Amino acid sequence: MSAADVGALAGYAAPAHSAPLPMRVARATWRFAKAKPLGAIGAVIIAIMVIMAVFAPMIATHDYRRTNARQKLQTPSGEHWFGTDQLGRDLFSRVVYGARVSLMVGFMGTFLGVLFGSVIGLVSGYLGGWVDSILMRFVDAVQAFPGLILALAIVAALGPGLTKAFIAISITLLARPARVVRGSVLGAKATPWVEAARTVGASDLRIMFRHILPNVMAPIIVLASLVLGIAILIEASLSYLGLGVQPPTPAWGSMLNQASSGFFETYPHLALIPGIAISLAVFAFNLFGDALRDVLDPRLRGS
Amino acid sequence: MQTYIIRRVLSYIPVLILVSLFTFFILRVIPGDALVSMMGERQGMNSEEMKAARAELGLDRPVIVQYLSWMGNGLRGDWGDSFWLHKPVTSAIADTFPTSVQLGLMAFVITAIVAVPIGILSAVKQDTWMDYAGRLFAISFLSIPGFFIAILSIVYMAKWFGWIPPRGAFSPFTETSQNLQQMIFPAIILGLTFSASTTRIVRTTMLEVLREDYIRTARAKGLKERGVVWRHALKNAMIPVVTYWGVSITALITGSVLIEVVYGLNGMGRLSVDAINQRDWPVVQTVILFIVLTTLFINLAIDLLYGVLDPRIQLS
Repeated sequence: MSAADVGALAGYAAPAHSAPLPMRVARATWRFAKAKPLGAIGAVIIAIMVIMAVFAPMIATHDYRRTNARQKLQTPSGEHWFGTDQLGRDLFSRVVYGARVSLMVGFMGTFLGVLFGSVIGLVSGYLGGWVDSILMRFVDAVQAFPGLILALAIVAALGPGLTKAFIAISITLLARPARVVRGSVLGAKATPWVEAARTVGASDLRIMFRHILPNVMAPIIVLASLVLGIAILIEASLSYLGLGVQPPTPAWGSMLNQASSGFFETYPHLALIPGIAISLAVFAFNLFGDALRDVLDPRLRGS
Repeated sequence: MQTYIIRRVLSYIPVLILVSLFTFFILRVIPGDALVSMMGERQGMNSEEMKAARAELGLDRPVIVQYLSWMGNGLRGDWGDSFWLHKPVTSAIADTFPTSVQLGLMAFVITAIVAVPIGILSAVKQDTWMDYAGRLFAISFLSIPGFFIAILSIVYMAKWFGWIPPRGAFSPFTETSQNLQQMIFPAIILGLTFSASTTRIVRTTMLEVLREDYIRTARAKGLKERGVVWRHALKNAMIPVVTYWGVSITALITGSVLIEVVYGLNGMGRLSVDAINQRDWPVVQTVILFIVLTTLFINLAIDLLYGVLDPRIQLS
């Protein structure tokens, strides 16, 4: 979904005939930034982190794996911007590469969670009856789990690693999208356009994916942006417990864990830097998600 | 009322069965079982001994038989023995449950003391510096992971004040002072984290309620603003807040897991993390089932509380 579509959903887009697409995207973005300055700040932080993650090899000043016994536990300097850890690895480079893990797991976990949840909600709301009952009991069961414990159990079963972490996170997150989509589908099902589609003989699948899904996209997008912060927090918790991405790949959570095993009392920057990175990422997604919610779907306010 | 409670409790049965099936089978997806992770302890077992040990733990039977015997024995009160702690799972839960309950309750009290006033103030003084401060408080604690604050608090307490929280298990009744020393900071951190989301809900519902007709009426008849806010608005604004507390019990438990780990508290969160790490399946599956059961009953209690908060709500 492009920014223009987001703008269009918000009722912000200029008339379709007026300007070429890039202009319309730029205008919609500018209006969003002017209406929601905090959301724009969030978006800028997210953009910086995405750039860090994508171009990590170019941005990192050192090899994140290279240990150096003579340069261990250094405080921030011109050579090592964030200092070095107990093995002499450059912290700045590790934080940059850590953005990859955090964002990758956050985005993929959210995407899959919202995807699974939306499909469940769509099928459940559209078909109703016993299918609805069974799917909703499943959603109840998932929601009754404390998120982190469910993610821990799944990761314990599948084994640690990047892919497994975001699969685990997606399962813990699917309940809310399922409920929201189911609710929206129940509303959309009763509308004239769905009835019209049914009258002309459209199949259930066609009605679900061509006629109902586009109409419940706004709450799905809003929910996804709000859930991203939670996904990043769960990823950080998993890697803090050593069940996320495995070394030597750096993750912010595991950096925090290494720091808290002793060195950090004398070298607080070891824990402060990854901790601040996690907080800043979650903070940015929260700001952006809130703004997007206000613009796209005021009904979700307070949820 | 009675039929309502019975119906609700009955509706928990399918959820609990699903949860138990889900945890039981997911824990057995992988080839490596508890025995493999115990190898570190009993080095040099040959395959014959492994087989015997597996049979002793009941791990050689088909999974479905294991599940049925676990549930069958469980319903008779025997939830099996921990592979690692060498004691029944039920006593492992009994040892750790009180700490978690105490932590949860203390955090909840702190949430109520902190979040409700901030949320109200934020709504009443909308778009002033107080509102912005309240919202900044909320979004900050929503973003900073509780376990990060916990790590910082331990280190800086030690560094600046030379104070280290006591380790070990202390009864809140007989060793109150040590117990509180140990619990107060985890409870504050958990409480602040939980306050963040609560503040936002209090603020939004309060804003909505303050626009209602009966609030205008209350003001029109000359009630003081304080009376309008605290007597008329707050009571109605609390209903969505209480609902939120009910559904986010799981979030409170999630938050407490890592705080228990960081502070070394003897609670169920740490028990489950340790058990998951050691592939101690009897503990993991039973603890999860127990936590889910507790969550469901807390939600039931909250639904019953609605009737007290709002006489218009009829449970049926």
